[in-house]
Amino acid sequence: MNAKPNIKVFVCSCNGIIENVLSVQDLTGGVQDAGLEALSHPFLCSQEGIRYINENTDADTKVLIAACSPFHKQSEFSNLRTNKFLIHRIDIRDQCAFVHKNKPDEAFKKAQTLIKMGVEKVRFSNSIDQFSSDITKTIAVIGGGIAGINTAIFANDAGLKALIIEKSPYLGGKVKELFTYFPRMCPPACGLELFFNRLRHNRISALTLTELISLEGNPGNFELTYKRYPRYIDENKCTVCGLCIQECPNQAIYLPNHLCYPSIPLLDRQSCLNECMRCSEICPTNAINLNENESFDKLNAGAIVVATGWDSFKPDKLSEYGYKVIDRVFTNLEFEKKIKELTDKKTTVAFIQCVGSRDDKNLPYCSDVCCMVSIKQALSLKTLNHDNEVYIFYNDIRTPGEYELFYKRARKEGIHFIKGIPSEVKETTNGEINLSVYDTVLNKRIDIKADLVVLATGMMVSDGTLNLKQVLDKNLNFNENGFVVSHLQCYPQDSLREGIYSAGACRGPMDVASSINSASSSVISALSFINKKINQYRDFPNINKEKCDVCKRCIEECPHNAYLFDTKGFPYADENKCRRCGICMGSCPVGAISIGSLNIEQLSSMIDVIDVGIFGDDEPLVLAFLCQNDAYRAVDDISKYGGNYEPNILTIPIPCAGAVNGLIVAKAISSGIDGVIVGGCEDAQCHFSKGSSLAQERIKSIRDKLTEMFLEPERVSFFHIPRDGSNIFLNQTKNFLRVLRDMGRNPLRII
Amino acid sequence: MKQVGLFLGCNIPFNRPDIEYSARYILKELGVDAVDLEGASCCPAFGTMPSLDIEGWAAASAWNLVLADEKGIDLVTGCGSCYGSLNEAKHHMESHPELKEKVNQIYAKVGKEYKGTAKISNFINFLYESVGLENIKAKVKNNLNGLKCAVQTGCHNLWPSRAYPSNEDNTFYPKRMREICEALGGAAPHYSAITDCCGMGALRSNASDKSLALFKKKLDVIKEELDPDICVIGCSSCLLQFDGGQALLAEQKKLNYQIPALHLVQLTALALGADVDKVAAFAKIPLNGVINKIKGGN
Amino acid sequence: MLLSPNDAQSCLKCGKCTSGCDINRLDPSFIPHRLIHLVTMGMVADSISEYSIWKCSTCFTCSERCPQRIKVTEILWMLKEKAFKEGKSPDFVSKQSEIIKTHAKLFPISDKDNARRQKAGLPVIEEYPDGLANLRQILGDK
Repeated sequence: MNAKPNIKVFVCSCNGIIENVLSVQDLTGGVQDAGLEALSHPFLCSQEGIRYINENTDADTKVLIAACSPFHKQSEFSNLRTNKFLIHRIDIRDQCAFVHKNKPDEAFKKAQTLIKMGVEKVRFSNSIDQFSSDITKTIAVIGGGIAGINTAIFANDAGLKALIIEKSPYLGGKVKELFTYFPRMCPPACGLELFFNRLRHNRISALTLTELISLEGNPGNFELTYKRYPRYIDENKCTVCGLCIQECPNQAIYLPNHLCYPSIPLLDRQSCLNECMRCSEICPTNAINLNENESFDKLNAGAIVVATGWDSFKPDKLSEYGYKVIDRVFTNLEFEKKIKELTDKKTTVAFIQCVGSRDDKNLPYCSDVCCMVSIKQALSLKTLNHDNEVYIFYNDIRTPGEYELFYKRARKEGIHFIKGIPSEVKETTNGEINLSVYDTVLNKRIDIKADLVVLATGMMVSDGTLNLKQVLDKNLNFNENGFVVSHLQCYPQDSLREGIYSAGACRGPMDVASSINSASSSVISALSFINKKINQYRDFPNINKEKCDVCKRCIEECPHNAYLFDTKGFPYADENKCRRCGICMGSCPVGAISIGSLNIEQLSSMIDVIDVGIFGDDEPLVLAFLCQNDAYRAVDDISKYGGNYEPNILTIPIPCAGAVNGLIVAKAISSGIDGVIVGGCEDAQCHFSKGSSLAQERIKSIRDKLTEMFLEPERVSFFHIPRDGSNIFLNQTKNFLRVLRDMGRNPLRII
Repeated sequence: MKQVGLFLGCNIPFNRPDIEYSARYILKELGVDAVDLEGASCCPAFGTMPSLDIEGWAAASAWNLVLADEKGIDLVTGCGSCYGSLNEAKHHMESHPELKEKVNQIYAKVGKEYKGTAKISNFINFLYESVGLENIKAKVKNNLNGLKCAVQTGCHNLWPSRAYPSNEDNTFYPKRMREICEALGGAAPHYSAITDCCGMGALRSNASDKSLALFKKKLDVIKEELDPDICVIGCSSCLLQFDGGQALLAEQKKLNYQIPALHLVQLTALALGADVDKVAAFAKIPLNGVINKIKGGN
Repeated sequence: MLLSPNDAQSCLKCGKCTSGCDINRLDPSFIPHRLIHLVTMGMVADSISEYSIWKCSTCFTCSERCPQRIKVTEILWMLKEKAFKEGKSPDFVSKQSEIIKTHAKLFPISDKDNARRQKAGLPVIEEYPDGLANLRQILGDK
């Protein structure tokens, strides 16, 4: 006889509430009859209850707590001395005593079964250690536009080291090209200068003319390789005395903008024709080296913030609007420069909104800023000369929140807003630009002659983002429009990869204010990642190499691209990329993968102890594997609304619907269980992006197998159960049980 | 391409057989066999069956595609309406399998099947892509000698681009015909009304005064912006408007100028050495100026 | 069916179709986006009672321009087809269709035409009675 296993079962009567339906004494008695130690307590989650558990256990005791839902009182139960991977909680209250209170006998049988299954779960649990790793407390920011600059400043303020990698010669991105910011109409010089000063004073490094070419390492310890293009002028030596600018015979050295950061001249090597070397000879600080070559270097960073910005949509394809055909047709970004050249001569300017945006053939989305940009430019034109005529052809004016007041101001200034999109911009022989548009409010065609036309072109994915897509390959996800994918609602700053965050318009169209906002949120995420990463459990997937036949399915299906090959050719999950979703466990055709919180032996043994006939020979018994993010919690909620369902369904929480392995489902059916449900999120809402859809594919193939075995495929079903899907569960299971009853009991059930 | 099915349509053989003559002439010059499509039906034009009975339209259109399938050839047409209707019908049958199925149910009764393998091109794309500008240049016998051409591609040769196997890079800024005219030695600048409707089609049958008014508007822009030697037309229906319609406007004293007009294949035939009396046998506006200009260069 | 009112639902009412419509320039009563709006509102009956649907020149610029890829011209076909079935179509359309159904051509070639063709050095276009019979049978069902 083996030594008595160190397993203890604690049953809570929840101040008599559970006791009202189930006899706690009988439950503990049942466990004791099986030769295990079982204790009861009226109030386990109280301080006294926790003490009671701790007094009766040591660090190695495997603890089963039969009480309320495992998602209640989590913080209270986190105070137990036992390793958390040895503790398992099963719900005999919310999903048992409460919902089946009208059927106390069945509820008792269900509770008893759940406890038996729970015992198996703890029996095969293993204690898991924490480990620490050193984190590089540096944030690398890719892109030096308004979002990147602010990310670096925020990160620096938060006590991290920040550095910016910028491909172009200067920081400031698109904003430095702007004429004014909306809605305060201040020049960008003002804000940008302030930010540049903060970079300067905090000694935040900005590598300009630098491009990321590869990414190695892991979250917490990334290694970035970058290429530096030659600048020919040494940033540290140049004093911007201007001598080289004056002396260059080809005008190849100049300051492109009064807002240059770094504030040194640009040496355009292409325009430097005759190799006269005069600049390098006269430079008083010897800052010029015309023979500089490109160089490569590496840097380490704990986290990365992608801030590669946006590009302006090129309306070439829409040359019905005369772009590049008529020289007085501009994009809105080009007009930011053009407007600086305008005099106070009376001018008529027509703006066409949504050029390329909200257009299924080009950018299917709204570009967010164009309405405000056109209104801003229109107001600038009115400031230049109040007699300027400005027409804005729009479809919908989108000025949400207080931006509406800005729109109102434009209306009051007498800017003409015409609801209707012109089809063409044409130039007549006498050089007039004509726009013919059907005013959908007037219900009449009007023809407008304009001196200048501005096409309100939208924001699209930048070349910088597209290049990054090549470099980061599988480390970052991009949506169909090329923008960096995040969990838009809840974690807009997170990418799908830990340690990589995004800020600014690389996420999608946004204005300056939102970009700065996004910068701070990305820093907060990066910061909390770097801090929390110091300690973590080794609960990532474990691959049984005796079973593994290296089919690579886990590598294929892992949504986080966490899988690599070890030196012997076996797959292993990179602990830093792995999010413990268990999708690999579900994927493995030989059941060789387990994760820390749940392993194949546990599931298999839990099925073994189920007495399929507990409710009667002809009563169906159903096993429901429910995603613990949404589906399981939706079922938890049923008791809160006073709902009830039949006790024939035994629920098992799992990290993701994608973690359910077909072998386990098949085992359940072959053990005589009448039906198996896998409950997951709506496909698009899956917390691990593709777990839910993978689960459905797997269910489909299990059903095909059942058909081959002359079993009813309907015995195995996938339910979409969102977080608020309590009613969906009730309706679907009601139908499911009816179908099972009509079908009759599982022929594999042994009576 | 060794051979191509010559889809004449209704208008060309009935109204302007000189276009057909020119088409046959250039195909021969370019070394392409023109295969006749015996028993071809109407495409049928957009103003007719597509407006009343979409299935009937698809079935009638498919007749011609079935004939082409049976001969194993692709088609080329000089008529924009035929190009549009045949391609649209094919496109709709491809994108709506249930429509194709219905058409085939009808065809089963006469023991035929619509497969949809034949492609339908127009002379613009045929010359531009299948023949190629360099090959055209090599065959020119009468260089156009800088003849200023105002080109009219025609709506149905451009839109809806989703239905067409090949098209301009920018369907609101057509260049292919201009480049062909230039390859023949002419000059063909862009003008602002280049994609405007000529007024032909349902409007001409429905309200001919309005149709002609629309045409005149376009012609006035051409006169004002380009003052060309000739209008070169990619579509036989448009040509009826540019030649016959123009003559009618002149008759009605609504026009104080006249610009000769030829179909692209007619102009190409002239440049490739065809006899002007045959090429433009039924042109209503005299072409003397055009001929002199071409001859002047020789 | 080829198209249904649903195919018009994504219309943003931007009016670009009407702005670019050459027919609307001549005849302001023809307003494509208005017809599309009627269809999206479920007011197909109102739209087909408007004579204006017959003014479309089917040039397809609207379909080509539409940022939402709505097949405006084809939606109008759908309306015209419905109007025809309800006997609300103008005579010339059905007359032309009848000619096609009978002769397979909008402009059947007569002996006189063939004589003219021969003079121009072109082959005679013959009627193919078998083919025509087949085609009549095909279109007769319609």
